[in-house]
Amino acid sequence: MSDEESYRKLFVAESVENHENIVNNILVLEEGSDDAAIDEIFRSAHTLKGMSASMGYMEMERLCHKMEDVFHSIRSGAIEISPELTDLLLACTDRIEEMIDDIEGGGDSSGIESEDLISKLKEIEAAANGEAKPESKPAEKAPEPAAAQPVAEETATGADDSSAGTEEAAAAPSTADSSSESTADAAKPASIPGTQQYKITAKVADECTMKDVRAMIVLQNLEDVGTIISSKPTAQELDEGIFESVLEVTIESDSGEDALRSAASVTDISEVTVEPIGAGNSSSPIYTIKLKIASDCSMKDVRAMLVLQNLEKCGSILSSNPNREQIDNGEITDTLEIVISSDKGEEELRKASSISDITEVVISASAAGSASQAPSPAPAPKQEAPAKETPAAPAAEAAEAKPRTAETASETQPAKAAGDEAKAKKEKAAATQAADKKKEFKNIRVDITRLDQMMNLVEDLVINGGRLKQIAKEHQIKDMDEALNMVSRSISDLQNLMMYIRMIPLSQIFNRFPRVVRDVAHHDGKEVDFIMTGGETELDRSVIDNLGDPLLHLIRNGVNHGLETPDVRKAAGKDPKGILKLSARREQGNVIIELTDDGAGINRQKVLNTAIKRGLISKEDAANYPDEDIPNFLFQPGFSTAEVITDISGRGVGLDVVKSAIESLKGSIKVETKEGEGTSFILTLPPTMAIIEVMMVRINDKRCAIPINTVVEIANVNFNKVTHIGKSEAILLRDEVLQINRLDQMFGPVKEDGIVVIVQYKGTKCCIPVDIVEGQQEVVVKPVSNIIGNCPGVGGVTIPGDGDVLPILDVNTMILN
Amino acid sequence: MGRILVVDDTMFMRTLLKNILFSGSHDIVGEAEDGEDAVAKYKALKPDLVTMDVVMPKMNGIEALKAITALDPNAKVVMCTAVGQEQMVKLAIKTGAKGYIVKPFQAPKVLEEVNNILSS
Repeated sequence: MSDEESYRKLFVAESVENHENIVNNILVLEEGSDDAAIDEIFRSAHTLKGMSASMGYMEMERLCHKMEDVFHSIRSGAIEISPELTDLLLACTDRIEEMIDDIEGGGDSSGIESEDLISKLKEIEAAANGEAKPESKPAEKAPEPAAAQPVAEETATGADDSSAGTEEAAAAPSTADSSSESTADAAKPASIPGTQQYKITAKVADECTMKDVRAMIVLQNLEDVGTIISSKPTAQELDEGIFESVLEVTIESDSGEDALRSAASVTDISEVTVEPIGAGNSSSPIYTIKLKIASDCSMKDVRAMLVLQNLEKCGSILSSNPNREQIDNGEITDTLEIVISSDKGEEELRKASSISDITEVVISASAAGSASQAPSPAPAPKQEAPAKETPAAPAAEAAEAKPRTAETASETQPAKAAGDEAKAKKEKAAATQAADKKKEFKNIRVDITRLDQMMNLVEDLVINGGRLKQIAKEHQIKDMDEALNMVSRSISDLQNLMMYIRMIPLSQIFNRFPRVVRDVAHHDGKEVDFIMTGGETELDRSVIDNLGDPLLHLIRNGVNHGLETPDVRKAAGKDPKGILKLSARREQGNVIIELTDDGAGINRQKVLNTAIKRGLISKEDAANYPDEDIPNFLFQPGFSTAEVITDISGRGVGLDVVKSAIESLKGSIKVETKEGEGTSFILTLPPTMAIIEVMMVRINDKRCAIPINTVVEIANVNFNKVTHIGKSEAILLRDEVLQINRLDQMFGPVKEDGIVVIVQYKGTKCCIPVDIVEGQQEVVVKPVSNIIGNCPGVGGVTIPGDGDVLPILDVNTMILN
Repeated sequence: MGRILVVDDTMFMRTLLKNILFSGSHDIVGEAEDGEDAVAKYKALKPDLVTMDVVMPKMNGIEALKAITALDPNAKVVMCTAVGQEQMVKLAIKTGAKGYIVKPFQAPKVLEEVNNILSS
């Protein structure tokens, strides 16, 4: 059960990531076609499909599968991106999000249907296929190429995807080289007495998925132990998916029946028969075919593949230069040389080779033994040479020869590369990439609760270290004191490191904003260029967790109220497309997040009118109200100047909520605006909530901490001038009436009236009488345990080095009370 | 039993596969979350067998397979695939993969394939 639960958690976490990835890349596509974005979406849809299938969320699997199909068609160019399509795809992602939410909440998403979306996706596919290839059925799976050309295309794109990778792995083609060569070597024993022909049939189990691939594996395994004379279906046919359930292979081998049987007995093979046929030594004549490809041929590799495939039907290809792998990778010049064993005769072979763009065909019959050595001057025959000695040798030795050929291959490769500057450059790139790889090695994913546990342990260490230090001092053990100094340095490093580990980049919440902007802009008929920068800026996880909603609100607000409609903008001489900029940066230990629009700005008169209407300000004061204070009215509860209340924002709930959310994160928010030019919301946040700067004070010999961001000033006041207003006391300080908030209930009365700390929350100030102000310091905040229950006025506790537990004042509840 | 390197870009799939392989008393010597990572870890860990996802960021499973078989022509790589990816798997088999398993994974099937290939 707990297993199930942990799978579910992982599923949700990774599904959310992939979902976001799809949404953001769809938005990229909306701006214009982008292959990387399509690949990303394809990959994420594929991943979601696989994961949901594994969890048994079949409806989600169906939807993702269909999306994957559609993106496959987009990638291949069969479907074009249109606004309708992006809308549909976004609707699909919304449905997926709904499903993920349901799953996260403990459901299994089975109640959320997606048939409507799937059928719409199918319609789009059908329409596209109808235009592109009339007779082919709408591709249920990845389109299965019926002819040779698409296969070549597929492999070509495969190589394209990471062409850098292919070339960097410079040895890759050469090994393939050696392996295909070793088949060719094995071909030679065909003419050696002692080999035997066998007929092998292998039946693939009914329940096997991808039977054709199983058959390919059998065929490939058999190739390792002998020379395949023919097979039914052929390798090519298997490649095209033509396969029922039985594979018949005629093979020449000296490895013996048992070896053949075990080579064919792979997973999902339910039955294998091996029958020897006649005597060996039945080899067909061997021909060397040299072809020239027209120099103006645009896809030489595809031509070469077609020739190879045609010839394959005439006999068995022993080797080719360039070989298949090289052709797959597009490494081909104007010539192609093929060594084939065939009993079809020269004329037939010439016919098979003479396709368009082939300008010259030279066929020469050769004696079996010397065939491969004489004609081809390329490295290929050289590699064949060592293996030539092994023909009669047992299979084991032949296998040993394999790595040897690989070695020779990789030796010849760099030699060739040495003369080639481009290749050398690529190798350099490979080396730097290797360094990158090392970096990636170091990334791990850790459950946040484990980090919290670790953090707690580090804090315990801090406290106990402090105690030890005191003991050392009391008993005057100097050595111990010194040792403890070293220990506490390590501990504080450890503590800093833990803080750093808990940081995550803002991009984690930024990522969902482009979609929001798009939706609101569409809804309002506005054009918005949304620019995000500084997503890499890091904040403590606890801050990030609580920042998403307030930011979301500000962004909605920015599009909805900040920016004007295109007509209005045009009339004002602006670009009809508005700009909304979200940026983040570190500044003096704080993180600054800025949301700026180039809209109409905040209208002074409108705000003042509303303020007067609501009795927040008198008409007389309004006239002289300072410009910079105008936006502060927006943070008043229920304050809205919007004429039309939309379903997106403008309901008057909002900016005040945003403000208190930011303040509960120990941050602040500020607005700057210029009429006609735009508005900026500037958020200043501490990078972490776990460490805060406090002012340490002493009241009645008890210490307590006041968060520094709430402290306005410290003053020495004359308590004789205290006025009593009802039950409470107040004092006049520089023309300002300040309420006195005595903390007698918490700490007992101050010894002597005089010093007060003036604190402020949401513009309301009050003063707290204290005995001594000890100073400012950074402390680690520990939340008050739930068991203690609600303690108004206490926001948490901190434990400094001496092991005392000190309350941290929660100024806002104090002031509200 | 076998020392296995599990390659997939999602922790979800890796965990699923790891648990299946554990149940067959195999050792998971490492995990990789993309093709490049897989090649690097193959070099470092020299596992007996690799389970390789096909669709991955940075370097896909086919490219990683090429790089791994270039390092070690006898590398035993099993492709993790899904219905609809036949062409890719074929390409992988031609490139040197020794077998494949199909998502959603069925524990007995996965273990059968892995054991067969390890003992071959």
